[in-house]
Amino acid sequence: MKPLTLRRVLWSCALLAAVLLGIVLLALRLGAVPFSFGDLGQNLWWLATGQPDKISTDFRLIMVDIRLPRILLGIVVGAALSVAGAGFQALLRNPLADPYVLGVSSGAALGAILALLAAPALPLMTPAAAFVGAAATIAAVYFLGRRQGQLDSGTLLLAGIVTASFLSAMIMFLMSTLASRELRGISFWLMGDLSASLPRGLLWILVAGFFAAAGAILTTASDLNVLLAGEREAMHLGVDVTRVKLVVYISASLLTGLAVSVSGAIGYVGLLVPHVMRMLFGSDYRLLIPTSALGGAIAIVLADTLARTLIAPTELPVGAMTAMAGAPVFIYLLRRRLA
Amino acid sequence: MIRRRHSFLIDGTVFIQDTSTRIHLALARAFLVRWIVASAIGHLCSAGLPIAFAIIAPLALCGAATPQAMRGQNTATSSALEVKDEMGRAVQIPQPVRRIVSLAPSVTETLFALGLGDRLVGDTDFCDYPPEAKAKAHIGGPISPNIETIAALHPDLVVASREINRAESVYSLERLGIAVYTTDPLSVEQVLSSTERLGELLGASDAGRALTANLRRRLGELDHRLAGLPPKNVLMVVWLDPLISVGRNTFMDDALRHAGARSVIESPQAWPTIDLEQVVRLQPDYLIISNDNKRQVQRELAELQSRPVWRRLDAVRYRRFIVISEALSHPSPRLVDGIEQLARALFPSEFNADAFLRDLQVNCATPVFARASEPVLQSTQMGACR
Repeated sequence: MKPLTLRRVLWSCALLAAVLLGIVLLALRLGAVPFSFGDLGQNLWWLATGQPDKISTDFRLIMVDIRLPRILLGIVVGAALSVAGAGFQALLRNPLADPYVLGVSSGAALGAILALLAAPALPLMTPAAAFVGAAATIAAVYFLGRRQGQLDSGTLLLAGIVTASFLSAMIMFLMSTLASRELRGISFWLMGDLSASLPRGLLWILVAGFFAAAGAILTTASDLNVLLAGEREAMHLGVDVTRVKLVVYISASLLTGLAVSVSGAIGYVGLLVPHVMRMLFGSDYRLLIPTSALGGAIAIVLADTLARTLIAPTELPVGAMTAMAGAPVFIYLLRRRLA
Repeated sequence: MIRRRHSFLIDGTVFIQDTSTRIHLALARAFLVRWIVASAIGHLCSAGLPIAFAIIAPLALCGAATPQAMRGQNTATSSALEVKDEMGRAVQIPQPVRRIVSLAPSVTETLFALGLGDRLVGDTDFCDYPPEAKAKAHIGGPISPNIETIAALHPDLVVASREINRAESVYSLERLGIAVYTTDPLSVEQVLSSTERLGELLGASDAGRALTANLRRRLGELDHRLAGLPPKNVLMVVWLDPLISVGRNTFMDDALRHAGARSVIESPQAWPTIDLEQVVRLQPDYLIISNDNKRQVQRELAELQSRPVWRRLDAVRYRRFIVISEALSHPSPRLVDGIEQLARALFPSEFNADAFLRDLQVNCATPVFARASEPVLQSTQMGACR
């Protein structure tokens, strides 16, 4: 492995950030309502230089009020899911670990459904309850996954799978027995959907939560590198294994809860992006975490742009796009590992 | 209540119960139910997602349309009318309303019936009645309308239906400062009063009153004609696989009642999934299907007769099927047409040739709306078909 220098981290991130910027510009340009790159550049320049009165009302409505918030949401969700995925993979030393495997998304969905039943009129209630549901699931899986006071990777994974299927069954039960008219949107939301606009405040909460949790994981990055060699080995090398695992587990779950509560269950991103980044930049977690964040943002913005434009004005759930692109890549990765 | 025939579908089936059932009424049925089953399965075993997509893409492509070029700017609203919509939300409706976007086929039909078709600037991919609706700019499907396309149409008002639209879409539009009025009729009377109210809000009060007065008169005549007749026990087949029917407190259940029928299903759920065993026990006199796709219905019915349990139903054995146009499954003024068609099919002897001709003359002589004469002519065709 090449030695990791700050310069390398910065260059890798700069490269990915440039790609992300390109994708964002493309995503701003493309949509059901067409704009030319010239118009886009002109209006963005006015926006950046503080001459907002020159911006046409259409541009403001469609670019600034609809597309830009959606792209920002995609960036945060993608980054959160990928960092969470990378965290879970290190934590469980299991390449198949992913936020969804651990049941967090099902917990969030159940929370959202309960909120819709209890207070259907409050729009902010759903994401808040989804987050609570996710957090509760995390706690449950964490305690179920312990054996003799130790977090055991295999038990944890199984506990996650069992919890996920139990919660899914609860969702099915609620949806089939209760005659609430508000549950209809849920199946769309479960597929992963970025189309619902969020109140501004919620977006900022999301961004703040992302930086806090991703930052917490980043502080444990060098310990995670050691942990890859094995828990006993890490312990002998002076790593406080229990603390590191707890930090990563809670932060990664928080990231997932945040992402799921606003966008539903977008699959494959948390699983695949860290794998791809490992192939591109190596498996040093100090580099892997920031590159995964940027890579996840790129993946989601790209997928959502395709979902919006492929058959416009009809929209596809973004989860369908990520799975369509993600499943073949995953199989390719799997075959390569086996070969 | 869960069917056990193919266990793989159990999860998908449950999804249907509460999602697609409500949605599909006003939609192209095949598209939606299959899509939601596919997406539910796809979600549950995520490897299935590509399958779901493969199903969505070609179907949805049929509904895709090129976005409409930008139209004129929003006119500065001089005044706004503050009203409560049928969900109880406060809505500021700018006056006058010049540009309307509809998010549901039933809403589109209502607007056309009120004579507001020229003010409709956008509707969904599934709006196909009247035929002019197909020529409007499309804003996507009712479940996932494209917010961007709607905004670019600069509507003064978006009209949604709680029956098939998602609350998220309403809130998203609201946040952009676009007024959204939501309809939610749960009975035939509410369909009429909702239509009348929409007429008032959109500056077509006279048209609305005339339209609903005519529809009420037709319903009154029907009631009069059917008075004293025992209702026929029917099973409304909303969807066949899995079997979905109508519950209490739905506009369709009420429509059946107006047509002299009684649904054998009594469920508090709006669109319950029904166990076939229960249907065999209840032995409905007729199976009623509301679908305009004749070929699909014929195929389904032919297949039904070869199924082991279904064959045991008297209605299936003696082919007592009634196929009604989709008017019966849309909560719009057209619902009355559907009710009349069903009544004619259930009680043919009460609608003999003399009485029928008299009706036709009465309706044609009513100069208020050209549209008012259409349903009867349609019914004639229905009658002839049978």
